Amino acid sequence: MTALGGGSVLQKGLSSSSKLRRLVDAADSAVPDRVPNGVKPTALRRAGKLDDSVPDADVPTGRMSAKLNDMPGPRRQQTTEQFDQLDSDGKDYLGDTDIDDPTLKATDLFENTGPSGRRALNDLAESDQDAADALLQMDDAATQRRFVRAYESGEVDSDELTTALTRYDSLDADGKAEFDEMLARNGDDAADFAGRTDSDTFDAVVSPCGARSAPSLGRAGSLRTDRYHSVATPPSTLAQSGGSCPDLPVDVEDDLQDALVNVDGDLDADSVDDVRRSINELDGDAQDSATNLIESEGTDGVSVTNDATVLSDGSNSVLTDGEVDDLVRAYDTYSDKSYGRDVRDIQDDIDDLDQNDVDGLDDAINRGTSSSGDDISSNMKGLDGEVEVNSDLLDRDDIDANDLEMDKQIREDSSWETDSLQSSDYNSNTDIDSDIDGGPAYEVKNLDYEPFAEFPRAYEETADSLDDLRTKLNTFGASGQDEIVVVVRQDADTAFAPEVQRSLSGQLSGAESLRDLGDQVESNFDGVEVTFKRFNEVETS
Amino acid sequence: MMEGVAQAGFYTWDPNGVEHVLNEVLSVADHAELPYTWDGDEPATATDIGLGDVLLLHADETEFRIRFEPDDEIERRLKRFLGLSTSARYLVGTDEHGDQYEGYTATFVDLIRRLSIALEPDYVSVGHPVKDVRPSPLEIMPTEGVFEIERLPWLSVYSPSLIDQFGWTDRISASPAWKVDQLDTGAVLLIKTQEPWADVSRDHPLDKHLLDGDDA
Repeated sequence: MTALGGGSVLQKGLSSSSKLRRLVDAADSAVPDRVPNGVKPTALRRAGKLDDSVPDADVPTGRMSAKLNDMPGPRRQQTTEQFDQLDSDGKDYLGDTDIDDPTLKATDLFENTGPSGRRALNDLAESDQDAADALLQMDDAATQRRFVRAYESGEVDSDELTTALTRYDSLDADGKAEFDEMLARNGDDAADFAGRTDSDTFDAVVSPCGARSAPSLGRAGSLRTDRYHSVATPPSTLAQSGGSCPDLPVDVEDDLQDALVNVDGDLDADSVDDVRRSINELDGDAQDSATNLIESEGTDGVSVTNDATVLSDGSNSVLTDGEVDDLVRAYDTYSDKSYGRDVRDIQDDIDDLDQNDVDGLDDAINRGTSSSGDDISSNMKGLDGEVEVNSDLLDRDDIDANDLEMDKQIREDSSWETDSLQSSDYNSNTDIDSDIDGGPAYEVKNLDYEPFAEFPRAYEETADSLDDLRTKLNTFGASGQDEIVVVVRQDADTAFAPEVQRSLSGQLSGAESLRDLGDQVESNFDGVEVTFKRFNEVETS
Repeated sequence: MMEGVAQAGFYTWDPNGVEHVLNEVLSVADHAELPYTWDGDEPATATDIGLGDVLLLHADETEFRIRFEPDDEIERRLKRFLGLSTSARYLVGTDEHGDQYEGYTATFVDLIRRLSIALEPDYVSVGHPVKDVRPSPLEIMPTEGVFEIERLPWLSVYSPSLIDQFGWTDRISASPAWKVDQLDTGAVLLIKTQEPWADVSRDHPLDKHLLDGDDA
């Protein structure tokens, strides 16, 4: 530093060129205390060359040379070369723009992003100078770099980059800081999100309590979710009262934002507002589950979270807040499994049953979600099948919702015992998945009866499961159900595996299929009819 | 309330013969005051017991189904010789602060404990009731070759020799399980979680403690 820092060295270098003399004059006028000490001649030369490259732009050469002086040589060269390689749009832009010190800011951009930044600036200068201004005026180098990288990689095109930068520029200081952090966590995905989403949705995700809250009046007409259709007060008014801007825990807010920016689908501001309010109603574990659900299921995760929380709204709600917490947790666990339907389909059926005030829905949901860990998935699979069948039954013209009851409890009665049917032939305490008043009782088995492996244990387990079904259907018959419908995922006439058949005991000895099991139950009671249906047959017959 | 069948499998290196096993089971049933009947015709002799013969032990609300396997011919070190199953819908946890099961679940666990003392199996495991939801039962089942347990079931019993083979001698008594019971035979009965099957994942601290040697 000191070897090049003396005034004599500077003067020696400057005297060799009239251009450099003009440079020093400019530097003197820009920097009252003359050229900063320690500025290398190369930095001054580069500043001068840069001035030549953009003749119409104002280059404060004193500060420019100081800025260049701070760069390592190769970077200084690469940075200043970008000015040479700017196209006419870029050069004209630097001369035309109203922002302060555009060439200094462009130098920062080029130092930060290299040729990628120059290409982005060229394109923005041609298409939207406001966006070019926004790119240059970014204070956060990492954010600027990520925007440029997203454009260079093709993750966002020119229009999207323009949109993203305009969105960013509209944020207040807190919003920008929020977005900087989001971009740091999500990289190109956040830049892409900023480029493809509409302004309201962007604000709803990034700055729900900032820029968005005041001016968004009159959006009621754009509501897309059902959540507030029946609410007279539009969300924008809620926003003004603070209802739209719940203060989520920082980690939950971060997780929510990260999940939302990665949603590959049509998000809208209202559903984002809704889901933030919905998550605010959940307990801590369920909040984590909701953000996981949005991350894995995208827009379905948003709508399912919103619809699930509606189930505890109002005085006649089907669930309590705590039960909704359990449901959301169960959805999160279940959505990770390879089996079962999408959680959106399950929630659709629950909504259908709730809107028709079907008795027993609350018990069914609570049974499906009542435990923890792996157990949730086990019970959720049952709930999945149960709500599917009951919703299909509702769709039938011959069934009235008022006649439908889910999870109807049955207790074994000692009077049921006969010479041929002992207590062990019944379930002491069971339930009917779907009981139609004056009609059939439905037992829903969302499974098949195939052994899990070719081992004695698997054969025995399957045989015991079939015996469990037999005793349950006996319980239905003894309790007075004449029509019993068993909904299963396999053909009732398909023969059980030979080893399973050999493992059947007692009354089931010799049974070869579910149809034989049904016949066995029918033979125990006068007038009882057992039929088997596949899931896709319930709605039509 | 969980649907499905909960099944405890009893395994040993040296099967004792079905007659001995039957006698011990009947003795345990007597001591536990559980009446028993055969589901269907009673086999003429113990040696006539086959796949479809099931002994029912009657409890207050339901029954336990016991199957004997006199001819387990699967090539593996541990032979399965007894199966104890029941409807999973009756198996429930106790209240949050309780340290003992109650009712039917207590009877089920007590029956496994009694049978483990009487029959001295080398390994007992209770599988998850729902086959396409649970982790693979093969992870807790002895199949072929040397038995390497890959995941710990909700409830399991290990003989002293199996504990030694697994290298758990110095660790098992300090296992982070809901219950760690040392039986009179030296075997250890582990119950992973108070709520049956609440967490049968490989990530449970019990799995990390015994399978990974992780005490964290």
